[in-house]
Amino acid sequence: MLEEIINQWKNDPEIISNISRWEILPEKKAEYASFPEWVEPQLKKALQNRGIDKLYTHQAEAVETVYRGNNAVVVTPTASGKTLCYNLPVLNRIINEPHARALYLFPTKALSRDQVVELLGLVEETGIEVNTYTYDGDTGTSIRNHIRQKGHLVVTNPDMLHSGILPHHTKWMRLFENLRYIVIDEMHHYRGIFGSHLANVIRRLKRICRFYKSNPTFILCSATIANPRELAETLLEEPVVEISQNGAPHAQKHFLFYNPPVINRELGIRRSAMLESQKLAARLIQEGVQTIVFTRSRLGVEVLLSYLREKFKSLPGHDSGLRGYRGGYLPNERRAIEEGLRRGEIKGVISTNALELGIDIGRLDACVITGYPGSIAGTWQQSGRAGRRTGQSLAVLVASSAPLDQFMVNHPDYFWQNPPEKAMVNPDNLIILTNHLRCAAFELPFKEGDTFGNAPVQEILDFLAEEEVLYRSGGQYHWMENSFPAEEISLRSATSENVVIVDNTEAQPRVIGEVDRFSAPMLVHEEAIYMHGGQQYQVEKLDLEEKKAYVRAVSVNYFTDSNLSVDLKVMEVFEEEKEKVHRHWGEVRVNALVSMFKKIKFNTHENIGSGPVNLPETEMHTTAFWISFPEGTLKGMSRSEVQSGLIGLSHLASHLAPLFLLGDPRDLRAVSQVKSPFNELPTLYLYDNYPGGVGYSQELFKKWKEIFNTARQRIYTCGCLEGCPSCVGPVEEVGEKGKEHTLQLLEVLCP
Amino acid sequence: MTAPNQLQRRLQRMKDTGMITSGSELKKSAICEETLGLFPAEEKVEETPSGNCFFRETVVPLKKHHGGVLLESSLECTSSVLQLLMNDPPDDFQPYRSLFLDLETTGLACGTGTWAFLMGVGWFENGLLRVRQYFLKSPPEERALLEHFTATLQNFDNLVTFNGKSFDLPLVHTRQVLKGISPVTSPDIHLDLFHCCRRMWKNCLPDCSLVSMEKNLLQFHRSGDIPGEEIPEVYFRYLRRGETQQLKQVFEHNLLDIVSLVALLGLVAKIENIDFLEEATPRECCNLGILHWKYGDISRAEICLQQAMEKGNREEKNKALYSLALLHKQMRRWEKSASCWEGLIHQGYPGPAPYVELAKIYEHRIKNLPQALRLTREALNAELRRYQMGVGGKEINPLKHRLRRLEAKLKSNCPG
Repeated sequence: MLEEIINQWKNDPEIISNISRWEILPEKKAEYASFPEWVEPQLKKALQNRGIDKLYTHQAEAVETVYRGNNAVVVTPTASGKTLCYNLPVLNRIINEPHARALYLFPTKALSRDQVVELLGLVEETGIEVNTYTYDGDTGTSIRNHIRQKGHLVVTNPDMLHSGILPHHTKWMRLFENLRYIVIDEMHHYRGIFGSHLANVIRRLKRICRFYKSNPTFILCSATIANPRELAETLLEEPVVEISQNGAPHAQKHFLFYNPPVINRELGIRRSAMLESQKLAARLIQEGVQTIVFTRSRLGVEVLLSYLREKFKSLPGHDSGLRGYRGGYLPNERRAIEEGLRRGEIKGVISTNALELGIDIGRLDACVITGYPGSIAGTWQQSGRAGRRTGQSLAVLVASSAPLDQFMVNHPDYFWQNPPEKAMVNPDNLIILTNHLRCAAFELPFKEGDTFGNAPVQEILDFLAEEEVLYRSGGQYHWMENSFPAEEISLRSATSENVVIVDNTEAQPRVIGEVDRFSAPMLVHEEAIYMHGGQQYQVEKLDLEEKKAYVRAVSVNYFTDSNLSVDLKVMEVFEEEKEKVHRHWGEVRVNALVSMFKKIKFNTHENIGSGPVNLPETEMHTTAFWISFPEGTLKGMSRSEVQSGLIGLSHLASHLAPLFLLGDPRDLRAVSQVKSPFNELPTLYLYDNYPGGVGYSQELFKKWKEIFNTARQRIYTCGCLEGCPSCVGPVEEVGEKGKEHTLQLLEVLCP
Repeated sequence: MTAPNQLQRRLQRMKDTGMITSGSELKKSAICEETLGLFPAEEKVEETPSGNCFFRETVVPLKKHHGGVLLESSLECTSSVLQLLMNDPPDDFQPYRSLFLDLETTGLACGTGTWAFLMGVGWFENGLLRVRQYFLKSPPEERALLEHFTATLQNFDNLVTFNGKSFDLPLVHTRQVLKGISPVTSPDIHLDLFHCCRRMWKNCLPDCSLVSMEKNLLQFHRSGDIPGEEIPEVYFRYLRRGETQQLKQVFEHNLLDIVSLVALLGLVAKIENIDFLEEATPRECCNLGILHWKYGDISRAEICLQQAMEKGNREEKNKALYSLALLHKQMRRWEKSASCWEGLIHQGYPGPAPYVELAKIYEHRIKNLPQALRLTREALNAELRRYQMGVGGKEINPLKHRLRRLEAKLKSNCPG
């Protein structure tokens, strides 16, 4: 079926003319190594019984590294047998040392459940007693004490470690005294705010291990990113050996770059990526090819799902095989979808990157990526969902009109020749660090001169003592407050608050999802259309104090999109360079206000109305990179021309920065000021969209030239006349000649 | 004072935006006195290998009433009473070998950051109750305090607490681990009065807190007592600013907790006595009957349940009668059981259970199928009535199934 479609597409001018690259990844043969001699016979036998009679080369290298007591990070694609890289050394150690313990960390509960099933199979095969348990929010209270005392292998997630294990470490004495290995799987997930939190959770974990006199070895696994070793070493603050030579085989795969056709050349308008994806996915699903469609946003999932359902309405039997999947769905709903995919009952799934993670849904035939996922690493991850062991598989990247998408689809070599992006974390984000120091002090008092990883702690401890959170006595800082600090801190956001969405349609109100506090004014303001499971809901009331949004089911022909206005003020400069242009990075205060929203019609995407939003502004302190044009550098440009250029530049820079930093375009935002209150000069700011910052702006301070060079290239290759969403932004925003003005500024930046 | 550095300025700004929560703004003062000076005659300092350990010791005469209970009666508590109230009762229970324990802490959260700053223990000594309150004058003294406390603990066979199984003892254990005190030993027998009293008094009280038991069971009313939730703050004010005024109240609060533990044990000791039954409320009689029944003392159980029926209002009577019916059923006394179920129906018991039980007796024991069928129909009607009023309904389908089965059985028994 799939082969047939591939052959048809090759010869269909309507398709092939939109394809900027048709790459065929050839089949790759496996490279093997034999079991190391130290592997215990019963373990070797168990593996052989499960069909593993030799190791892939990367597995052999990993287990050998770990056996010698070195930390390792294993970087290989999905389904290359990476779990064996940690299960083998861990089980081998427990056979030799029955008291030994290991801790497995997975980013989510769903992932750990899958791993335990696999692990239990292997353990059973060895016939030795290895007590393996999942310890998370769902673990029953009656079994918890048994796990603390008897669990050899405790599988959990960072959130549970943070709030359920570390603050109660005295109950886990047996585990911490005998802890030999700590496994951190899906390491690439620990970037940005989550990674910055995890680095601090690891600081706390290591501190507690030291108290119980254990010194565990870390085994990390990651999907491909540019800097796995650097990320691992930042998270652990210890040397780590990188293993990235993959020995696993894979089958042939077609990878297509698809650019929707231009429908208005002057304005640079292309057909919507959403509509093109819908067309391609419908074709695949209709032919029975099990397909996953990725979209960039939660909204995208819902919109595409309703489009496809509408299309399949006339084809009986197809509708039931179609599902949406994204964050904000409740766990049991998600489990049912995963199960349906594994069994093949669900033929098509529309998902956000929530399914990009190693959640076990089996292998699908095809993958349609709607809009560049924002990173090379993410693109590989998503396309990795398609690919069975034999036969062919297909991945299609459908570009949107965003500058980054257009850059990629027009420069496919960039994708195929460059390593994936760097994952950034900032363990010393002051808010995150201070909050984890509170937790750490709760767990064990700090002595004067104690360290906390490489973080500067003395000032913060004094600050917390001054604030009467800690009490200083006898050369120690003691927790002295009537509260449980870990409960107040969520690892998933800089602040802990979420707004829950309550459906009031029926007499019995029910919670159908949640959004984080910072996004709430944008997504669930009054009159917003919130979509869930293909159903539309209109927000009736947003109660920010109670953190609840009340919605009612509706059926309308539009969705809503809100306008955000931002004001920015410099608080402190950390570093500056004054050459031809002035560059800075430092701390800024950002005030954001959602002032109005637009109603956008389905399919045509035309604006059919708007309304005001009356919500208080949100304030955030974060880090920013900014660049100013001193007097004389922009000679001959009027104030409005400079403004137009700055708008174009902010559009390009914020969209292209993810080429260099592993993150989402939403993680980094741009603001421009023609006359900045900071230095009276025309200035472009790029700020981390998280309280306290996650390290992007500091990296931009170093990499600014590359970004602006790429921006210039983008303008040159873009076919529009005066500006379009794919380069400097639409003419309505950037003004006529926006392209020209932006280029003038770029001439100054990179002559 | 030097100018704040960059990090300090940033911390201040984070605080100003409310992103870092902080404690109160007041300034601290040092504490260096050997004693507190709050209870001049009762304060003691003892040396240990790890430094000085401070406590207050007071005595309470056992001839004294605490509310309506004479403290001395706690000495009458025997293992036979405890068999009714505990899952793992001791073979032998000697009240004078018991240590009563209650902690005052810096918070209610379990976890390593919560301190026990006042550890009250009490024991019987020459006709008196001696109460010793270990007080943490400053954090560095914790080790000495814990060592002394742990040694005291080891002198006793039994520990008596209120909710100590889930709160006080794990907290002590945590503090011992943190201070490296091991092996951690505590008495083998732990009598947690929270669990014991809940068994006996569950639906007799508005809630199962110690204060509620004092008020409703001991008839003891605290006056001028400090509310529990304010206690951590009092200790923080003492540590940071040397304020001791309210500390006195915390000591008294803790002392009262210990005395209440003794009095509760005194009350528990009496539940087997016949005078207790005479004075008991219908619900107490019913609970006690069920406890005796579970322990296997059927004749006592019957007496208690009879008492409950004699004293109680309609609802209480029904509850006792229901238990009695189940008791007879378990003893296979079908006639007695049947007459109880009939009694319940007569009393207008809501719900289908008496009909169902009676139907089972008619079907399997008396072998009167038509009567069993009639009763099952009644049961279904009762459940439907309940469902219409918005309660129950779960039994509708099982009952319909039952009805069909009985109809089929009746048909096959009398063909034609």
